[in-house]
Formats: sequence, C-alpha cells, structure tokens
Amino acid sequence: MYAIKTEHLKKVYKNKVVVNDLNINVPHGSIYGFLGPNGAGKTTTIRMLTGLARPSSGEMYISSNKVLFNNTKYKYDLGFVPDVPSFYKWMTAYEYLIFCGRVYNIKASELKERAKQLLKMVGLEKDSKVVGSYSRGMKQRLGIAQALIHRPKVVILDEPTSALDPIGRKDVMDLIRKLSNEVTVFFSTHILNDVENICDRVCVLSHGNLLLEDTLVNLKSKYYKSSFHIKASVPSETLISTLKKYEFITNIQPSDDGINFMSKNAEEIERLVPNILYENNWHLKEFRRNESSLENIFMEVLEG
Amino acid sequence: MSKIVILVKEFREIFKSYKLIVLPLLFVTVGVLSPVMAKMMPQILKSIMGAGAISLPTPGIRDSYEQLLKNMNQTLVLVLILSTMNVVVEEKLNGSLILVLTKPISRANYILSKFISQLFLVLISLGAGAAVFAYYSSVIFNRFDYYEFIVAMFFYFLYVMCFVSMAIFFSTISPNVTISAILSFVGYTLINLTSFVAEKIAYFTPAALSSQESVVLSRGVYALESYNPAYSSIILIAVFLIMSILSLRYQEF
Repeated sequence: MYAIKTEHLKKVYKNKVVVNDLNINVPHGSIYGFLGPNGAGKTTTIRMLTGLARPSSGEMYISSNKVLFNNTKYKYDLGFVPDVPSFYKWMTAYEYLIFCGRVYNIKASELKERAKQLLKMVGLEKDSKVVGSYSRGMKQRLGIAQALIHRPKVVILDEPTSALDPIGRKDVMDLIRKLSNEVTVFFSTHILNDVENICDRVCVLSHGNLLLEDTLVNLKSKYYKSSFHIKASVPSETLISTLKKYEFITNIQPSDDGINFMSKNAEEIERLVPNILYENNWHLKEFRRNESSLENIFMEVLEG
Repeated sequence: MSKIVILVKEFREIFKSYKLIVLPLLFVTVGVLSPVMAKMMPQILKSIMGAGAISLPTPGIRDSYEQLLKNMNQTLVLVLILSTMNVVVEEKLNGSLILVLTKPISRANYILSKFISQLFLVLISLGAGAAVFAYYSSVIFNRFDYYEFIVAMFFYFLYVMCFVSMAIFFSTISPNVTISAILSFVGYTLINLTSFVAEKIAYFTPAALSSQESVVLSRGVYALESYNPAYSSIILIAVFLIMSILSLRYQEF
C-alpha cells in the first residue's frame, strides 16, 4: 500500500518520450522529493498524477485509487499546489478556501473553522484583500492552504519554491515541514538544499528515466563522500603520488599549492594524513574537510 | 454538491465583474430609446432635412419593434459575444483553471456552469430590456401585443444563445483571447450570412429569427412561416455545448 504508485508510466509528446517507464512508490506519511534537472519530466509526471495530462501508457494510483484521466473520484484524496498558483482574483483568501471546501462537500460549520485554521497556519488570517493583490509568496501559501482544505491523504507540490525570494522560500519550506505529520507530501524541485532539509525519500529523474529511488539515509551511506583539501611543505605532485597508494582516496587533484581529494572514510583520512606527514617530516600548512552534499550525490547520479 | 458550487461561483463572478449590471443596463437603455426614437424619427428627419422635404407616415408600434430589433442586432448581440468569448480561455491562460480541474469537478460540469451562467445573464438582460421596451411602447403608442412580443423575444433569445454557445466553444478551443474573438465574430457573420446564401438554408438558419421581415407583421405582431429556425437554433446550441465539453475533456494542461 503506497500513497502514490506508478507502474510503467510513459508519456510521449509529439513523438518525444518525456516520461519513460516510470515506476515509483511513495510510502504513506513520507516527504518525497522528486528531483531532476529542467526538462527531466517532473512536471509532466505531476500533470499526469493530477489528471491534467493523459498518460500514453502505464498506470497510476493515489491512495489505492486508480488515476484515470477525466475521473474525479481519486481527487478527494489529493491536494495539489502548482508552481505558480492562480486563483479567482476577485475572491479573498477566505472566500477561496470556502469555495474549495464546498467542492469537497465539507459541512458549512466545519468548513469555516477549517478555513480559519488553515489561514492562520499559512499566515494569511488577517488578510482581507482580494487574491488579485497578493504577492507570489502569499499566493504560494494560499496554494498550500487550498490543497489541505479537505484533509487529503496526499499533497503534490510542483516546484513550490522556484518562483520565490529567500524569505518566501523559507516560509514555504517551513509549511511543508509542518505537513509531515498530517499527509504524504510529494514535491518536485531542483533546489537540492530544500530536499536535504526536509525529505526522507527521494527519486531522481533524468530525460524521463528514473535514475534512482531510495531513502535519503541510504543514499548518503551509498554515495556520501567527504572532500578534503591539504596544503603541506612539499610539492603537490609528491603528496599526490603518496596518497594514490590508498584505494579509499579518490578524485585526487592539485589545487592552490595543495591538493583536493575525496573519500568515503573520513575518519581514516584524519588518522592517516598526520601520520604520513609525521613520517616524512613534512609540515602541514592547511587541512580542510568538507561534507558531501546532496548536490554531489545528484551530480554523481546524473553523470552515471 | 460540486455541480452547484461551481455554478454559484459563476453567478458570483458575473456579479463581481459588473456584467450583471452593465449588460442589463445596456438592454434597458435600448429598451427605452427604441420606442422613443421610433416616435420621434419623423420630427428628427424634418428638423434635419427641413419641413416639406419628405412626407413620413405616422409612426406606429411596428416601427417601435423594428427599431428595437435593429438596435439589438447592431450592438447588443456583439456586446454579448464580447462578454462571452473569454470565459474559458482567460481561465486557461491565467492558470485558475488548473486548480479547478485538479479538484473533483468534472470538465462537463465546468462548461455547463459557464453556459448556464451566460444563459442567465442573457435572460436577465433581454428580459429587463424587453420589459422596459414593452412599458414605454404601450405608453407612447397606446397599444401593445404582449403575448406576441413575449413569443418574439423567446425566439430572439434562442438566436442570441446560438452566438453565446458558439463563443463558449471558441473560447474553449482557442489558445488566446484574440483567436477566440476572431473566430466568434467570423462565426457570427457566417451564421447571419446564411439567410442570403440559398433559400433552403434561409428556411432553417437561426438568422431568420432576427430578421425583421419574419419577426414583425404588418399589424405589429410576431409570426414565423415555420418553426424550423427555432429548432435549428436549439440544435446548434446543443451542438456547440457538446463540442465545448468534448473539446475540454480531450485537452491537456
């Protein structure tokens, strides 16, 4: 039982395969990062999941309900926030939430409370302006509120922070973090820092193909490498030839009077390097360790 | 429930956008001016051309009808097309349709709501204009055939709804408002030209519903040689409506 499941999902657009044989499984309650460079097929996949586009082949399920184009049944379990949400400009945020709630047949008394609660959560409770005058950040927050009005099991967000300034981005990420206890969150992005901060599971898409799908913990243990920079009282070439003997040291390159290299075994490096320097009577001028980021993993996966 | 919710939203929108005020006001203005202009026309012409230049018969209720139909055909139908041609395409372009379609609202329901709200708008506008026209005509000309006039307005309503449903269809299939406008006006012109193409077509075309010859009799009441234009109008409205629904059901966003 998954919150979102796709089986051999494929989308061909004007003879071009945009999404190819996509199989993803999003567990209930997870915050799932859907990663990929521009043009990877993220938005197309989301459009198919939300009923905005028809798949060429394959099947999709949201909370066990089969997703069918032009079928509305599964949409009761789904909330959706597009990258730039647009509303009826003449409505206020409260009116829009009431409109959305009525679509989902929520009782009037419960709906008013729910709308007020959500407006408070997204920081728009004191705003009585019409939506037409809202900033992008405010629209994004209202977008999240309208997606939650019916307490869906799954919320899909398409690049929720891509059009926002740093403050707006932080607000939205804080909101998504808050959702983790309530719903399954599936969000596409190419901002890896966002994913690293809040996701527990990710998949990476490139040219419509799924490159990997795993938990962030597993990914880190599998791909995580620390990068090092060493500057010593010997030429870089000497240091490089000395360190090349060790298999767990990779990507050794000269840099700024010193060398850079990577290793999965950071603790071993921290023991080994002082020993080598001591045994050769070399002086250490600089030693720096940088933790590998999701960006490194992402690049490594993309580059194969 | 969602069927009513989206319809209620449409009604609120035509109110908030002032369409529900502006359009009936335009029809009311035409309803007031038509009998007045019909009554005053001989005096107006005399003042322009000089006394004795021409001799005009005393205007009657028929002139009042003719003036109303002329004014409605020349301006109000076009205004209604203008106010309808953006109803779907604008929501597609500004993105608000995306959030509607990702909710449990069927695409057929969405189009039907647009159609019903526009039908309501036409009904209110035409009704208000017709009521004012009937009142002023009866006061100015001391007679008015209410039953025939109501029947005439019903058939005129069908004629207008042909173009409204056509504009909704073009708004559904067009990528932008300009193309929707061009297609709507080309469609309006073509339908109206059909009455001149061939006698057989003229016998069926909705355009016959608005032609003064068939609408106004010498005694100033309504009569059609056959109901075929009315039937063809109803069929055309249904066809445009179904094509709008099918087109939107097929579209991807």
